[in-house]
Amino acid sequence: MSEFKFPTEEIELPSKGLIYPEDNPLSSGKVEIKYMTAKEEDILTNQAYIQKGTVLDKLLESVIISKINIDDLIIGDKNALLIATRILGYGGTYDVTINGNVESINLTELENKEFDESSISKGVNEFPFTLPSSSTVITYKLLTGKDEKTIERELAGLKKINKNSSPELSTRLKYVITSIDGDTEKKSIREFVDGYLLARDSRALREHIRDTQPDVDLNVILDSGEEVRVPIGLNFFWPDA
Amino acid sequence: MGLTFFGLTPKIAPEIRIRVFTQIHQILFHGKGGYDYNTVYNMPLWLRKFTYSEIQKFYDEEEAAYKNQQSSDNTSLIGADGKVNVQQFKNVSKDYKGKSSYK
Repeated sequence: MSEFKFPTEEIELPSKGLIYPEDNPLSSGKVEIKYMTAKEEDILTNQAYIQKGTVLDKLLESVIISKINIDDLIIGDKNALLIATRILGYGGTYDVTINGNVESINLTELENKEFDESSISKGVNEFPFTLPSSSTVITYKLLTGKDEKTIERELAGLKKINKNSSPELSTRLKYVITSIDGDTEKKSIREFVDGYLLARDSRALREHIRDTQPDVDLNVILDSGEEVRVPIGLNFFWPDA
Repeated sequence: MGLTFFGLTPKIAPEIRIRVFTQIHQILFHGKGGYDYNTVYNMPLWLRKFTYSEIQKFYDEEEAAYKNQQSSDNTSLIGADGKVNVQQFKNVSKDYKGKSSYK
């Protein structure tokens, strides 16, 4: 049976592809995706994927037409693709309960966050930052899906050693920070995070990354005038659930 | 540092899955042979929903027309089954009671 070819859409990435190496197709800043079909609903309801926590990655792998590796995507770009997939599948209207009221949010009105392109060397996912309290100059990177998987594996290993430990934050920072005062040795970075990184500096770095990383701006102004961050609930992918 | 998406739970997923495949089945079953499984499975969601609602509309209209036909049968002297509609016959013959012309 021949398969119908339905139109696809080209989605602009919040990063504009600037942080990806030039030989990576993501450097074009655009990704082509197809409309969701029953195949994708099949993926979203797959018990094994849900339990393993890979359901959204599998969904993206299925809808993305461009020859890219989804593990190369940074979180903000991945968010943009998930939101675009939802809009193409179920439309732009998203009814969600906020503070006890049902609000109807138009997802098509969400914009990509503005970010300072001058801080990026084209094709390099590395940014300078001076820690405010210790004045240490570091460089950091935006985590990709591949990094997230490595972190998950490391955390799983650490949990086996000590069930009561909660090293999520420090482990993540060990991957986020790529150099300390010019020293790019992994061992130095790990020692710095474990022994010298002040809590105030750690928070400042995380806030800086949150505020400056390319992403979709999920802040919306409700009819009441209140500004809220769009909560992503069950009915994001299942409006009729 | 990224979004947190709350997806389906293993408890709700099977229920939703049945809904999806029920809809596909109904398009195939009631689509008068116009669709095959692969076509419906690979339809964009908006098109599958549109197709489903059009089929549903068609059958709703057909049912309404059938009911309408049935109600009009009630005023016919001979029903769709070929039998005399006794009640209707009595109604229309009231005016002629006692006025037979052959007397």
